[in-house]
Amino acid sequence: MIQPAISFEQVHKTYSNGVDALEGVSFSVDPGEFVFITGASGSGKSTMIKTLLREINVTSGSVSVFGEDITQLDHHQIPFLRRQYGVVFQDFKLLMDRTVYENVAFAMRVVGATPSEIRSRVPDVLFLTGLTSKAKVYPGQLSGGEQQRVAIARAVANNPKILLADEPTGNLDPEIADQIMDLFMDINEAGTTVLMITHARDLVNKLQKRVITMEKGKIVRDQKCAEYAVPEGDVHED
Amino acid sequence: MKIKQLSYAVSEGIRNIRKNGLAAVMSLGIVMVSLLIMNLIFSVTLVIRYNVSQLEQTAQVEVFCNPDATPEQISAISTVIYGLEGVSGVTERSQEENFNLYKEYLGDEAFLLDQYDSSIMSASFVLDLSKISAGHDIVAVMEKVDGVQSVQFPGQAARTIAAVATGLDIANVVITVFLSITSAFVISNTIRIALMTRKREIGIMRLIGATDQYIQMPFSAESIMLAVAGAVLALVLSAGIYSGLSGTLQANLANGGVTIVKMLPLWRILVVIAPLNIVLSAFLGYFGSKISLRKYLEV
Repeated sequence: MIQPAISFEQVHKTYSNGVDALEGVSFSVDPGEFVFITGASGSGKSTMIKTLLREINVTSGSVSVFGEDITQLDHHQIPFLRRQYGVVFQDFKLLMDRTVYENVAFAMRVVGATPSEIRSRVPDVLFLTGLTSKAKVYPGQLSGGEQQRVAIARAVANNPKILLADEPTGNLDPEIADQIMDLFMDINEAGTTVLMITHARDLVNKLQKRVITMEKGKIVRDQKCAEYAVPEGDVHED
Repeated sequence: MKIKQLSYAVSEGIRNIRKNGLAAVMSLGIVMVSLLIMNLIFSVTLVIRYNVSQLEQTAQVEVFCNPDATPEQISAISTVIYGLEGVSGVTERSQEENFNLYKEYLGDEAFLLDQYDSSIMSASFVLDLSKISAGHDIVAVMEKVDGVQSVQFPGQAARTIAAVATGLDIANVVITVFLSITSAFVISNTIRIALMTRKREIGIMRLIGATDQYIQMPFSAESIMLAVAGAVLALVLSAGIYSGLSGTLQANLANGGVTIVKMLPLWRILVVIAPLNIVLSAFLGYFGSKISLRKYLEV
């Protein structure tokens, strides 16, 4: 039996203000799978990502990554959990005072890569993301799509087993968003598990991947090769 | 800590210092002023202690007999003296010897004694002390012996001066503790500013798997570098001030006929204060950064 890359079992998360963000969420993601998480604002999507990153811990239930229950990790083990992921955000989260090359190298240096490993890997990643010519450019000089490419380059620099993406195309034009999604597909085809939160209906429909739809902290739909199901109260009409 | 981590911490620390500018200069300045004050007081106490030790090494008690003491009384005094503890040697001086010594002391004015003879002087015993602390008890014993006119103990002055040095030491510790706390507070604020300006970067570092230690290292490096730089400047200034003042003071004392006070050579001051400055500043830097890292960096 294949060990799931990600597994949620009866996960509940109640914030200190009493809001129930996740209510009995259970699902698993196989290694190499590409999964979209969709749902209206406040449906629990971001809580799910935060739980995976252990920015927050669950109230009850378990979350496993490659068989390890990450809800039981000590504080000092959390960085090592995060090294299994590449993370891409809607707002890119780049270091604006460092060049494209330095942004990617920075991610490798943080996890203890040697200078020679960095010198060898960064050009490859920049090539993969189409940023070779932008290596010495600062993020502020790049377009939104290019900045997101830098974020993706940084996310994959350490060969993560899982790529977590929170609205990666949310700030991009449709054409650019298509290119970014192609990049995610390439990364997925190379074997990386991708879990992506998105409201981009067209992209979801086009890719025909597994779609988990959330509403008010619960999974209301989990379909393979599915199209985007407009959630109740969702105002996004991408 | 691996060399590459240290190298990263130092390079990022320098980067932070450049970014923080004014706050960094303030931290460096407060450490410099604090250590400079500590160094100057410490230098004074070192010089005092050196002179006290010189005085102590030559500490003697001189017991003067009554000029009209009988040979029996002098013999009895001698017996008491040779039975004392803490005495490493005894020199007996007759009335004649003391009279001649006094004439030598008067020099050109020795003619004043022309109409006198040695009978006006006392015979005396010069006691070399094996330890200065015995002096006070010896004085107390000898003053009660029959036939003793007076007992002189110059070492008493040394003890008084030593007490002053101890007082200065205590004052210096209090001042140093106060200034250290102030320095640590200023350094802590500088690090807090650095943390604020790098909040976004720290957040990103966390998300990509940086450990607490990795995130904290550049900030600790920054504050330690600032504090040690402050210490180096304080040492340079202290050396300059000590050299200038000690030369002037020695010359003025010599002009005033005071040759007993000796200044320590600069290297003997630096040998003591340099390690103290470097260690204390490194500690201040580390401690100062820890305050902010613990308070504002919830890794």
